Amino acid sequence: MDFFSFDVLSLFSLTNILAMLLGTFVGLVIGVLPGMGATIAIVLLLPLTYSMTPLASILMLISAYQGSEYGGSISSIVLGIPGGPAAVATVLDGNAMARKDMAGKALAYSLVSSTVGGLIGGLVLLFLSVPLARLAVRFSDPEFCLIGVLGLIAVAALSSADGVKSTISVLMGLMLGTVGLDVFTGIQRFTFNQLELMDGISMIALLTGMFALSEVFAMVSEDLERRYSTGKTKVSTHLTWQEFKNTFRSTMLGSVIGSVVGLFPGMGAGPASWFAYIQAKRQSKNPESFGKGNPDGITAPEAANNAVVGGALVPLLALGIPGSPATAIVLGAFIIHGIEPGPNLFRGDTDLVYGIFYGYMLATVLMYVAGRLVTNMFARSLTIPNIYLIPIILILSIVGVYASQALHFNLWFALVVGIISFFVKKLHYSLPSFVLAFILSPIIEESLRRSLVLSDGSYSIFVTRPYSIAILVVMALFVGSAGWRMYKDRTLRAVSAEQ
Amino acid sequence: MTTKLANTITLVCIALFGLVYLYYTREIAALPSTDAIGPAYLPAALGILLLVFCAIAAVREYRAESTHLVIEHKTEIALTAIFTAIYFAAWQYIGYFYVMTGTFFVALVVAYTRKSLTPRSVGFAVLYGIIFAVSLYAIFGWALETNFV
Repeated sequence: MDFFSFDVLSLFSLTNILAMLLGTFVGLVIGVLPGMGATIAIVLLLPLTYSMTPLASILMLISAYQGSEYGGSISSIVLGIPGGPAAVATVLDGNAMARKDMAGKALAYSLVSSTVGGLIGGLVLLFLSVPLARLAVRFSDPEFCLIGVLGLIAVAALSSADGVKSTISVLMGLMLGTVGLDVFTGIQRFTFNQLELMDGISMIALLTGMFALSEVFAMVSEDLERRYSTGKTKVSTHLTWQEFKNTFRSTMLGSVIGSVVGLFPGMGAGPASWFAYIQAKRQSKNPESFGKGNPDGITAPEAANNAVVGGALVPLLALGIPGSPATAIVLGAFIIHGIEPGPNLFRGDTDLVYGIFYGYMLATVLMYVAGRLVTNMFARSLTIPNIYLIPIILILSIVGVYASQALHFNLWFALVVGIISFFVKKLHYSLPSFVLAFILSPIIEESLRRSLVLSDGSYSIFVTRPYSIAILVVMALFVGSAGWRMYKDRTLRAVSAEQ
Repeated sequence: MTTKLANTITLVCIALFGLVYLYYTREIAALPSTDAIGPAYLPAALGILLLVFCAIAAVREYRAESTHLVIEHKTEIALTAIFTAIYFAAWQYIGYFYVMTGTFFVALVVAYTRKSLTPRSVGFAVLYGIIFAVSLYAIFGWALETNFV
């Protein structure tokens, strides 16, 4: 296989190592802060990528993604407040263990399982991306159009409890994705003759407004006066071989679940960690000890939320389709460097692709080393008062938006998006659905129109090609399973109402 | 405010957005096109679908139970938005990015602590604002040579 011929030593350049260390550091710091997650860590680092090589910048963002998933467990364990949705399951047993004066041991379980999960996710990325990209080379416009639609269906079905609001979010995202010059005719669409809109809406401004600025408003609303306090005693994140062996099964279970869940758009680390927790509890000999400090209750979700990262990068690299807001921003970094992820990248720039694969593994190892050395320090960063943290995050997000295109227009746009997102999030509209629809909109429209050019306007092109039919079958399965889930939920609700 | 009222206002805004979008789609449709469906086809379909789903959501909302929508620290949220807008305008029309940024930092900290403000806390806010602006300059202005005009 080609990836065994890659010169791994080329990864160990000063730029790459520094980029990964910086990414891991920022990821850990942001992950530790309650309520903040991988998306914000990546947004904050984006402005730095302009002056870096493509490989170093992508590795920095991936390191931040990995670091923030582990960092989230620190506040879950130490404070009992999850760093993000992916670390909610960890609170149950992690904080229970910390309350027994075993915070260091709980952090050690989290760190080791996060590392194993990250490495398993890396293997999935390594071994699944290449075959998927080879398959995707055989795809043409009808298949890409259907894959885009499949992504939308998956996201709308999975990312929100309210299907109608999810669909409205998807439609709004698709609509905003049509803004700009039409690539076929050069006609301006919804630009109002604004030069800033000719290339479409800035993805970075949109993502920053939607995820970073709205989060800032949420912090002002909910956590303004909060100042977390941690224990003063130094904790050791050391795990013995026997302890590792005892939790190996749940770690592997979480890693496999996380890697698989990561492949599906719209699911992400939150659901993956819960699936892993539930499965680990089901398969445990002592399920009654879960929630009371069982190490398997830490290792399974923590392995899962780090394994998700590798899984989520598979569709991004192989098909050019991001499955989550965090990978959408990584896609932004590719675009900044004029690189289009997808099957052609595997033919044109193999050094970059394999560099990302192996760099991802290296970033996971660096996360372990950093975790061992500085977990104590990151636990202390929880004591920064939010009155200072909020302006810092707000200003760094703003800097990122401006640095992307040097347009003040984008700042105003991000602010408006941030305010709107803060309110609609409270009403359960799905922001991930919106963002993925926005990104998929041009892919779907262009491949749809090119397909119809190929078929002289006949829609039969979507049902007469073997790969298209296979994708349509997957689509039907998705819709069927979502329908089945809705039916089951409704039946359960009816039964509980009767009782 | 109740969730029912908030949802209704949001749906009206989304429907208005859909109507405006459809109105401008008509302008695109009037222009000549070379491919099978043209640049207005998808936007028109999306606009119509959005209005349909807004109607479905409105019916559901009418039947749904209403709860109270709690938004805490409304004044601080409004001040954050207003100060951010003033900061953008000052940066865009006056310049001096690092000075404006330091001032913005101090303004936000003072706004958040205004109920328990002391000369000492203002002093700390100013000190941290200066440190933050200088750090930004060191990273972006000096090391990365980013120009914030």
